[in-house]
Amino acid sequence: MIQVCSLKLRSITARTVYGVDLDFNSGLNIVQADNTSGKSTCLQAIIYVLGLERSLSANLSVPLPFAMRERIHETKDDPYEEVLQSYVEIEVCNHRDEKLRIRRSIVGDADPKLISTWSTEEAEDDGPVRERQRDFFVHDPGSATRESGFHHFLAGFLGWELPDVPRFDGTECPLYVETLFPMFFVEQKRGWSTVQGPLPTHFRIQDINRRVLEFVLNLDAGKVRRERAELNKRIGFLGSDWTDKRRVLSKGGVDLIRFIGVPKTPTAEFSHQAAISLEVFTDGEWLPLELASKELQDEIAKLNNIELVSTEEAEASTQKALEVAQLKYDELGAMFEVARTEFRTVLEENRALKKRLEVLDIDLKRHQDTKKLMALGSEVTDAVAFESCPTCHQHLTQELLPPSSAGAMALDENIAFIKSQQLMYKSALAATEERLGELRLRGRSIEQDYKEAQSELRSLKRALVRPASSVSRATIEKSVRLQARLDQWEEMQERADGLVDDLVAIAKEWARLSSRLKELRTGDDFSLEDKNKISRLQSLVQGHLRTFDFHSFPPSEITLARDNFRPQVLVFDKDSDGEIEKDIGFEASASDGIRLKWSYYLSLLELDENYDTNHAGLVVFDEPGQQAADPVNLTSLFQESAKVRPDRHQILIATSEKEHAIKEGLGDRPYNLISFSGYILKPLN
Amino acid sequence: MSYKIHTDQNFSFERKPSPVPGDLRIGWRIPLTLLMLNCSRGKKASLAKLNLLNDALRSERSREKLSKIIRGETAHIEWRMRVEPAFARNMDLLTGGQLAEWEVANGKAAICLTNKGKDIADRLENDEESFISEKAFLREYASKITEGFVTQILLANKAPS
Repeated sequence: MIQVCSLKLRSITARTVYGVDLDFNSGLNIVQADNTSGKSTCLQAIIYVLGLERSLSANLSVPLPFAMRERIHETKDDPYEEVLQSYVEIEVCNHRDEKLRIRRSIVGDADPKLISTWSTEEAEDDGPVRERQRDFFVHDPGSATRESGFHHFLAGFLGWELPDVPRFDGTECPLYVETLFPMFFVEQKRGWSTVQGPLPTHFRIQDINRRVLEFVLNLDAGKVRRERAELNKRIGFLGSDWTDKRRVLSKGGVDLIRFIGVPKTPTAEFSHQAAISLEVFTDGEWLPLELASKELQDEIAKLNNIELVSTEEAEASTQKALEVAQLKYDELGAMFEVARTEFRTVLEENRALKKRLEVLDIDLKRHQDTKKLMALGSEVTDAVAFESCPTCHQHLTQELLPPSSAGAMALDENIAFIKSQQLMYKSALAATEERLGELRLRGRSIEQDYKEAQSELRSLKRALVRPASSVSRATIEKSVRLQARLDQWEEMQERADGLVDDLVAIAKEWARLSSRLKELRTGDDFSLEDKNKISRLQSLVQGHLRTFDFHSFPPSEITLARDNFRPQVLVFDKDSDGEIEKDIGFEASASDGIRLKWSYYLSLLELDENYDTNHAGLVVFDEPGQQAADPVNLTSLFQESAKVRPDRHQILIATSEKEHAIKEGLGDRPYNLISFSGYILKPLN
Repeated sequence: MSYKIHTDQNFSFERKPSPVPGDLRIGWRIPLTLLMLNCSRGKKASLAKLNLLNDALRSERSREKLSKIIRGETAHIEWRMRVEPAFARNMDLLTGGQLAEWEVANGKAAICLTNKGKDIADRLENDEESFISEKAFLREYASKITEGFVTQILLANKAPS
């Protein structure tokens, strides 16, 4: 909540100090003066001092008249004096009863991007009240997010936590304070043209009306959507984490083992039952690791049971074993060669695909560059993209290609064509990568077997030439070799188990987040509280419309749109034989448009009686009657405005309505009338 | 073997348009040429210089090579001057569209941006989203690629007589 307690304008020339001091109360305040006397200056000054110029337009021009910027005179007939220094100062307070003095200069010494504030601090021991000065900046990057940015500070002063909202370019930004104020402050020139805002579009925030209203009404819908976005982001992270770990598994991070049954993306099933089988490549085929280790253990046990015999006795069997080993050795050598050739072929293919994709990337970028130029406007595109010859005006279908019988693809079509090629090549690339991984694994397994066969061969040969009486060592050596392999497998199994545990953990978290996301997805985003709030707002609007004598439609037919909460009207549609919702825009008369705006803004303010909203508690109407084609009776607006709760709400109205009419209309209702004749900025010395 | 088509409807074949490499798009090459001219001294350049830049800008490898020559890491003779027919068409369009015009400077023919060309080139230059790598190259090396440098490259390429 924010209330303006006082406003001070100063415009200082070499001879005179011009200025005005206004005190505002809570509740209704009316600034009354003739046209072109400077009422709007006072209200615009509030926008200026809060650094909110950008809620009015994208550029940073000062929204204040000449008198505050360049030259000023006392009456219409006096000569102008040059303004040497000028500033605006206001005092505001908030829901915590904190008082704050804010000053921003326009002309003169201080940088207009600087906003100075003084907060009064209750000193300890009933000592004198101290003022603490702090300077902030506006309109530089970070003004809404950084500690020393004024809007960051202002949001904190108002008790707002600004949500992050998506922009058109896909990035996020805070819902800037500038986007919210048009919902409280109706500026004279453009403010009356539309029911909501007009909200500034130059921040390029998606769906800005909806986001702003969701925040002002403090709806859960926005929070739900943000939670959903957050969930999506985290699920995305889990997905990529999963892919990384899976790649470690399949790309030989664990040697010589192949994994079957790890899905490409996390699944709920995997989180419950990780059905993975590990396989090793032995004897020319993939065997489940468990089975292979069992076989190996049996073989070792068998070897260990063989009684040791002397070399002489073992000669025949050793000779035979040697033959078998030689055969195996040759076979493995051949297999290794085959695997190597295949690997080389696939690698070649893989490289060719990569190169092709690189070329496609460059080509796509060029096409996209050409397309992006369209954003620079037709002047540029017309000048650089010739569709016909500038001299003879023949159609240039060939681009810069040499003439051929077929025409050239259009830009968009060509981009789509390149993208489809990329898709195809990418999937081919992925296939070769997978194949390469497997071949690499198989190659390594064969290589290991090959080396083992080699050493077996060697040990058998050595066994034959040992002294005849010594004990034959071939069996022992073989047993040792096999034991080593078994140990290796067990170690691999352990490492793999670790990785699989990680994967299961990821899958579990993934399943949890996904189910939460699914919960959020069902139904619309509005909570029960939201729905009550909206229907309360709707009935408040309808009530005000009745009081203001809105007559373009029966007020009971005015409803609020569900997408951006804009008032709309239910009309009978002949085609569909039912009621349809229609935007009010052009259907209502101009003066009714203004009545609708009064109703809407007052209702937004009053909604916080029963519900928790983020409304600033302040409504400013600059010339609420002037824009209408036929004069509207402002009395009912004044009367309704005088009804607001003075402890929480403040309404500032600038009007050129006659003073006696205001007094008559309001009777003894509470209000604060500030009346001027002539220019509001007057010499003070 | 013969087929009979049973239909009383007329049908026709349409020739599918063929894809065009991005660098042969008018809408890509003209802006690129404008950028080349825009970063040249006096917004004008000889045809030889434009051909050189045109060659250099079209691939990462040739950009790399030219920058090595500029830095003196490679000899001038390493550069192979090429003349691309498509570039000639591109120049015709550029002058035909009144984005640039021929003039004679120092006894050599040169092509110079017109006011319209300058205006468009400035807007391309200020657009941060397109031609990123090309602009980066031009910004870094354009000032070093003078007409004198181009002449040196041309002379180095000349067959010894």
